[in-house]
Amino acid sequence: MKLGLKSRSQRVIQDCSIVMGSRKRGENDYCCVDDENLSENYCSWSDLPPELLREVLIKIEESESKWPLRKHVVAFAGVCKSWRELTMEVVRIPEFSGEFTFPISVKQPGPRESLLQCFIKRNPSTQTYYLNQSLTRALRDNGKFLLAARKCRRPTCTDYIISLCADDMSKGSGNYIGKLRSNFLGTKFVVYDALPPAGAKMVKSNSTRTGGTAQVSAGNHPVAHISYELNALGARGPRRMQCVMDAIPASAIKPGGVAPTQINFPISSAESFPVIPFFRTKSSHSDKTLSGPLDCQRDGSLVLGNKAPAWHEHLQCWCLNFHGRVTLASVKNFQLVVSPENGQAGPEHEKVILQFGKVGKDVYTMDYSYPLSAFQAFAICLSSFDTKIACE
Amino acid sequence: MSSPEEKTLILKSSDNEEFLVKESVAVQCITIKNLVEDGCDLDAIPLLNVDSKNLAWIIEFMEKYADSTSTDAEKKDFDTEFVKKPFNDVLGLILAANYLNFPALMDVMCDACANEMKLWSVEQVREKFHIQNDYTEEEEKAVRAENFWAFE
Repeated sequence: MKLGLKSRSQRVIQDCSIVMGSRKRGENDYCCVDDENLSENYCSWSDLPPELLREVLIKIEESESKWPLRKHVVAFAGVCKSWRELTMEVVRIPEFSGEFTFPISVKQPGPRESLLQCFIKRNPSTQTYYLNQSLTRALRDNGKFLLAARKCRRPTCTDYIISLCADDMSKGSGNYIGKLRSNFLGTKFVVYDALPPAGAKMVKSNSTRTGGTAQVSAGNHPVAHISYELNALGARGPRRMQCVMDAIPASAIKPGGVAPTQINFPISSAESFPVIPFFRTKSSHSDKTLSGPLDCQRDGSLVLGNKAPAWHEHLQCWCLNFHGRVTLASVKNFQLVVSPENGQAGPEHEKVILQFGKVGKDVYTMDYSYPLSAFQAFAICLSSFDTKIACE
Repeated sequence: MSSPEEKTLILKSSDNEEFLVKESVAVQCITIKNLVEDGCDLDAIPLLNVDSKNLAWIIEFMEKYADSTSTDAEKKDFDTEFVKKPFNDVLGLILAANYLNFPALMDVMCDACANEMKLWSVEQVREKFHIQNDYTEEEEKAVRAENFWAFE
């Protein structure tokens, strides 16, 4: 039995072709059949067939759709491999569910039709930033922890190390997700992913071990370039931002387009690369999720730019409509849309893909949607903290 | 005008106990409905995979749900009390509901099972379901890290 259960010969077990609500008639289905192996009245939980276990899992997944209770879905997948497979069949990626479930969710695109609401808290004394998913309509709440970043100043640049665990920022650990590196002037940034973008070929490392798992190089795969500059008004106007998403093709935002969806953190042997200890999830577009660098070469990378604020004569300030999600003025606040540089400006260039803004001391909201992932959105927002280009 | 006298079926459990149930109530179980349509209901209908303990409960459930006068709120209250059974009995009812193809009962019992399982640790689940942990040591570390993130 595929659940790894102890086998039982009693006929309490139902015919495995039976699925709730769609029973087919077969000659053994009816109770009129003389069954020599009649069960005793005792039955054990190991008798529960996979289809029924699946029904129970669906119940768990539906009732625990929100954090913190969603942890039960993750726990369910930790029981054994076949339960994990079952869970992966039932759980939908954020693009369709609008929910984070497994850690890999932070690397997968957000929902298409809405903005996934998160917030970032900064701890100035430890130079650490915490990204949490918002769990209520409040601008900040306890939230579900997603990612943490720590600022590391170097002689010629600054790095923000991004990790799944705030207490573990080492690049060698399995929690390391990627980093943001700024240039000396704080005008240009590169986002690096610990893993190759989905669909990219794995780069061979020096070690020749294969052992059935893909070899990956030490994690420094550039996936986005961000630049800041003054606008035509110089320091009196809002700065201009541009994000070239090297790992997302421009076609991703067109009708029928798909964005690369990372579906696994590979488990590699301890010698070739730090263990990245997470598992694959199923994407609903199993054939299409391998868009990535090849598509970028063909279609060009997606380019995002910040929406130009309007000058409010009466209030004497630059204004953007954050729909209530940003409440304090700050030069760091921005909204990113698809830049019309990719082609003709159309309705898709009005849709906000990422917005970021201050709501309190050291607290900022971050709302993002497809085709960005939480990781990419977080990295872009971190650059807004760091850049020296400011507006008076 | 009164309706024609309603047919009563005889349902026989695996331990040979017979129960009288109105046809309109019993056909909530699609298995029984199929048998009736096939004309297998002339004598007692033997339900070889359902013992009398479970059948009695199932009939109680069927009658509540067939009762057009009970409101949704009353059904919900009924469900809450109905599922207060030892966990192994919950299992028996899930298997019986599946065998009889009774969606409403299946729904309620799977809900009860899910609610119970949520309270267990991974080790308890493995013990209860007699499951061997087939993760390697490396994978087990990954599972722990994943749960650490989820429970943070």
